[in-house]
Amino acid sequence: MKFGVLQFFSWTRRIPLEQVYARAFDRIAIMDEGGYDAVWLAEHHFNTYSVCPSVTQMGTYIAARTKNLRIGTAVTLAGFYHPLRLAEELALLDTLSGGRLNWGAGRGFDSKEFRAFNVPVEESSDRFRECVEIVRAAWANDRLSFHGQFWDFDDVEILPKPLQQPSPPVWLAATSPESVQRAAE
Amino acid sequence: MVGSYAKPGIGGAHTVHVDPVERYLEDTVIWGTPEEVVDRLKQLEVEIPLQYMLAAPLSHESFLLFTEKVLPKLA
Repeated sequence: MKFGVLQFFSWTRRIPLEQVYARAFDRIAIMDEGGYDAVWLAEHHFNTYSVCPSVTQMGTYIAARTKNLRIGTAVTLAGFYHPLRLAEELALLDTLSGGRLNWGAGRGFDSKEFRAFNVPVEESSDRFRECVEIVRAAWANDRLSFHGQFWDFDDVEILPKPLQQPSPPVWLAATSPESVQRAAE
Repeated sequence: MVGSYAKPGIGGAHTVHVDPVERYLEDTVIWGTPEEVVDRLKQLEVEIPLQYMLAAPLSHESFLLFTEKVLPKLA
């Protein structure tokens, strides 16, 4: 059995936020010393239950401080990214970390985040599926054209490609029978 | 949600009154002494079978306990 830790950056406001990050990095250093497969970084916005709006930025910083630990995203919130930019940033993280990325993708659940980003929550499932399709295609093809429900582009070269070939491991968040079925498909 | 999915009859349209703390302890978290947690994880490894455990320790102390007293017996 492998073990990972879902790392939140919860902030009560009673201590400086920098201290929250410092404690998390101490914990991650312990994980890196042995026994753990990965740290999984939780992305959230506009709240204090995890102050980590960029899991790729946080992941790159952690990659530079560790040698063994895999860096997981748990999860990138699909509706809030341009999928080409997400493909680039994840591939860059995979490259800079020496091929230690686990990409976890999800649709999101917090209505506050959807409102603030002006993304209709009822589109989250379709946006999630389209985002995952585009990111995987961007990594698998030299150049990419795509014409979907939300995104439309022609003949784009996504660079860098991930170091892990053909792809970093892809994990999908699923909390209902329907989403488990979709992930399996 | 995960608890509801894993145990139909609790949560969602089938909800009967269950104390939230009781439900949390029974369906959501794995808790107890390090020995009890090791036993529970070994049980899940056989039953599910559980191959990957994504842990979310509730405190730094529980993280250290898990790292020092549980992980070496399972990883």
